[in-house]
Amino acid sequence: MRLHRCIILLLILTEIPESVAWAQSLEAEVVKDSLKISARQLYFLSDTELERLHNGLTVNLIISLTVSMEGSRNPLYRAQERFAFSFDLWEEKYSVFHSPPDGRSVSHLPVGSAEEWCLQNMPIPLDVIPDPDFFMIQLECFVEETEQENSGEEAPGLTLAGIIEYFSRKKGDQPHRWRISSGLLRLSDLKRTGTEP
Amino acid sequence: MNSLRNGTGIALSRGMKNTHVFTFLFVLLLPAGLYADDQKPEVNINERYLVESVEFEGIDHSKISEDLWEEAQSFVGQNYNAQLANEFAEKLRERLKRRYAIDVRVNKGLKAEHVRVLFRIEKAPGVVTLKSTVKGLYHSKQGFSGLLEVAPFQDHFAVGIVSEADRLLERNAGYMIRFKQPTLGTDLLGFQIDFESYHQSFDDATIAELQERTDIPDFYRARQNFAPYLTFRPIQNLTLSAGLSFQRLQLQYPSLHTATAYAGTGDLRYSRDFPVQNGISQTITATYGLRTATNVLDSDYIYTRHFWKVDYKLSRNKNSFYAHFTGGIIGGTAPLFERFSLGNSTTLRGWNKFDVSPIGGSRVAHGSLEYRYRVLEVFYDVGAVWDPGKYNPVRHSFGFGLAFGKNSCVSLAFPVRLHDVSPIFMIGTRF
Repeated sequence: MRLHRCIILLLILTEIPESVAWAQSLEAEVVKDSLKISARQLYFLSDTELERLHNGLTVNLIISLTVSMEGSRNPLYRAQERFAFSFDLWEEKYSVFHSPPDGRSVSHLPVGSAEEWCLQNMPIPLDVIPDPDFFMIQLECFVEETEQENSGEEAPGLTLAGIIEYFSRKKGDQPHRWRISSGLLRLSDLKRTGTEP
Repeated sequence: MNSLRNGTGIALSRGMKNTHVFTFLFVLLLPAGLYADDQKPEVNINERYLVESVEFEGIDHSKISEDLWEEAQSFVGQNYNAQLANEFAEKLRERLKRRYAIDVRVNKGLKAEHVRVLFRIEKAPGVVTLKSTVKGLYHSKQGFSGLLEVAPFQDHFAVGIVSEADRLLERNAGYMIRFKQPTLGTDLLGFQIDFESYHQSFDDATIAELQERTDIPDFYRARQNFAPYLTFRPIQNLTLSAGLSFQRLQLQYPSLHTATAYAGTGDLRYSRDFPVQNGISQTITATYGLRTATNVLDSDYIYTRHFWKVDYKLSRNKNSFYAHFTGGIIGGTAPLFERFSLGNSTTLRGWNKFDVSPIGGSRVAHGSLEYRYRVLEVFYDVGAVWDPGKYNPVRHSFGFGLAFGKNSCVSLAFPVRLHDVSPIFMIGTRF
């Protein structure tokens, strides 16, 4: 019995960071024939990534959106996109490049607007969502490791230095990754912009 | 099955039965779609700016091969290319046998709309190396000098044994211990402690002249130095050091006793590599050192020592030209180890320092010009060391030999004088 309590407590503790992310707001809005997501209180880029950007480097962010029905584990829709962030050293503004086939880019933005721009470029087609059923949207985001960060694993052969390096990696060195879900949504309840009432 | 692929977004049928198979295919196909044509979005807004300079930090230039150095300098004047910079960093890391972590940084340049690319090189975490430094020098007039230093723990701690007669008027034999903390919470600040313990021996000419010069402190048979200091790097290329040096000397006459030379120390070092232009690279390093022993520190010897040194290097292809200047002034009564001397492996190379001035001087001025083609070297030295009111002529020397890297040499040097033009032969690593 005591063991069960311990396991439950452990499970609760390990889930806390994700629960915090869940508490953030993920908003959906119908714009013409698609659903657009926004996460105004959410910051994709951690201090580490911002520091890298301020050092003139590129930070690649992978964002995925999943739509699923209430109580169903099978997704209705999934999209995963890559966005390359950079910080203009002279203008001191952020720039984002959306990977092909879209290939669009935007510059001269503050960091929050640059993050928002990514979600605006990931519309969910309305025809995949059945009305009037309830559905959920899950947003997942992680920073792609650079080649240099990966290079230890690509080193040819197994070396003592490589093993020491692997085991001496701090937990904080892991790439920033998080997930957030909306509550239960229904198309008919959502705010509509640019469509006939 | 009703599925739709729209970019990388995939709509899935609600009635789909074999969802596991589809999920598997999705996972399999998605990366293929993302990385189609092996096209990675390395689009960095700073790529519209021109590279002003490419710099390296944390590694000696001698560890970077000439071809890599030239490749790095070829970025100058071109638009910054993040992918090329990363590829270069990886190539550099390969050459350094993956013992180093290389961090690429891009900063604003001094010119508008230009950027500076900096490769920061650090020992890879977890890589334990036992770094050792071995120096050996044979000087036909002053004998052998040698140093063995072992530095485990990534240069934080070093111990060494020394028997050396090249730099000072004394021969030191003993050991040294060094503790170094390169960063103190910030990259700008570092801390180091040096401890040295030596037994001294002096040339007969020095002892004889000291008997006539009562204004100069007597020779000693042992010397210990404890020197903690802070290093501050406020801007790139500039290093400031400030600390203390507690030296205790064991004197034999008139009776065995200890004298102290407790001094405050300060050093200022500026070093800059100029951008390569027309294949010409230039480097300048300027150093100023100050040691001041005062009553405040309860020092027996009261003096102030100033020292200046400027080194300039210009190279193109296999030709290199070097110019060096040193100057110094001592005010007050300084012990022998602080006095300047000329006539060793780096100054007035054709002269024996005990012929130039067996007890050195409180004033020094010296210049050297060197030309190297590959490893062949010719050089010319000029300088004087003297005390105020005591005449000591300006001396010249020249020579030739082979030079390897920064400090290793095989040289034959000649004094410029009318009689007793006996050459001096040197082989080994300069101190």
